[in-house]
Amino acid sequence: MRELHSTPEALGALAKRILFTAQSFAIAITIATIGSVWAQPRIVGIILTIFFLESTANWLLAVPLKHRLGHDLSEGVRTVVNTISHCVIGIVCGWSLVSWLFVPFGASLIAVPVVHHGHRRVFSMLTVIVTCALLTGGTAADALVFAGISLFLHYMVLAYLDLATNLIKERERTNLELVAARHAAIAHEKLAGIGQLAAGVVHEINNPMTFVTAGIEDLLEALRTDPDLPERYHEYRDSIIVDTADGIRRVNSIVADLRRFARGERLVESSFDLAEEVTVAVRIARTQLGSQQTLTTAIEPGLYMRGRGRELGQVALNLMVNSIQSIDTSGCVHVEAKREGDGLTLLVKDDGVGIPPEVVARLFEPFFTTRAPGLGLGLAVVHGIVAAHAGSIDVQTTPGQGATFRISLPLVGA
Amino acid sequence: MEPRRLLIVDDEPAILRALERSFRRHGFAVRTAGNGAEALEILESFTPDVVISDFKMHGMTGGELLRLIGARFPATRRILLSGFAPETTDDEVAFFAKPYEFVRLLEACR
Repeated sequence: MRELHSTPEALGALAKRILFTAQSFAIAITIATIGSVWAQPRIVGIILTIFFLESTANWLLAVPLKHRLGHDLSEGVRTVVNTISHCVIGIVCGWSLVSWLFVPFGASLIAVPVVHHGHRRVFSMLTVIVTCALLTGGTAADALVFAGISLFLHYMVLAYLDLATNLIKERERTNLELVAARHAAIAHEKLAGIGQLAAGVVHEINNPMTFVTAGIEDLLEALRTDPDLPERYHEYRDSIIVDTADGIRRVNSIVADLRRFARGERLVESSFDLAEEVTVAVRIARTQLGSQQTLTTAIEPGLYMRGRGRELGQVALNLMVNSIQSIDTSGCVHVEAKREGDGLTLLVKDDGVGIPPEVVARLFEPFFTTRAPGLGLGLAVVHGIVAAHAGSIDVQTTPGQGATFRISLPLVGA
Repeated sequence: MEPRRLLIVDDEPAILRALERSFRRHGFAVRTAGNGAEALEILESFTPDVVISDFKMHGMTGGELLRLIGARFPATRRILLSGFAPETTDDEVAFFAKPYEFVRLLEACR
């Protein structure tokens, strides 16, 4: 059985055209057969009756009865009806050459509405007809020649359908690839735009937050070190200003993440070992694991590169935490860091719930999240840091079957 | 012991005041400037041990200012303090992101 399910519409149209041509031929062959027996009205009557019954049965089985009987059964019945019709026409025409014409014609059409066991059906049909012909006065030579032509036509139609199917599939695949590439380009542009916006906002927020932070910390320090602080300020010292300072720290941490996403920190590069940074990140990530969850690693030692080690450690940690949150209570996360080609590869793989396509498209946008308590900055930060290292991220995921994040980092001046 | 001399350059007066306050409290002799030109003027009569400069300012950028200072006073430690660092500067310039952690900034100035 050929895999044709993915392109049913295109193939349906093709089959319709073939069947239409076939109907025309069937009429032509019938007229030729009737012409050859014109002098015998009884035989003409039988042929017309058979032709009428066969056409009606074929139509009924191909259209209305197909849904009731199912594709395979209706096709099987059709083959039986056609085989019997061939035999009857052959017998009444004394197996004349013209009457044999129906046989290759019928055989070539068996493959058209794509059925299971098409070959078996053709062989059964030919066996029955040839046997019948030999028993009722047909010559062995005619039987052999027409059986051969029948098989030839059958396989030719099959090959043609195969080719058409492959072409259609190929076109579909190309279309899908084009759509995916366009989506990727749109997502990339969108991220670049958000990055620019974030960079501006980050700068404007950071300036006032600098003296707000310094001021509130100074104030807290002053309140705490004043031995004569009046009773009415104790609440400020013990909770109000403490909470305020904590809120400010949270704002600062969000803004810092946004800056990382917008690739703000291009300074201070150094040579470092990616393996070491990832190992530290794994240690931290393990603290997030449930008792039945596992985190396996395959980290090649000595992965030296130039860049900002701590940031790439952050990338590994964010990806691992993300994966841990997506697996079930006995799920597994796997981390790899290795040399690959001209660069280094960091791979974080999980057997979790996977990511739906509509989420994949927005995965790296800041503040895009599907997890209620999350802020939606983890993967945005990953994207910013990787982009700042001239690296690339590839996400492979099947909903229900986990996700794999592959980060490729070029080795520039390591 | 002589107090360590510190020059702070930033176009945001509130940041200047905050830094000045904190560093004075830790015994630094602090001068402040609101832009690069002002800073160069102060440098005519004041040779700092450390300069902390913002990056994005009117006129000359902090990067340019620190390069000039590096050429004129090689012994002066240079620190860039910025909300956003859009380009790289000399390797010898330390970078601190705003909002700074004062303890770390203090360490870098000692």
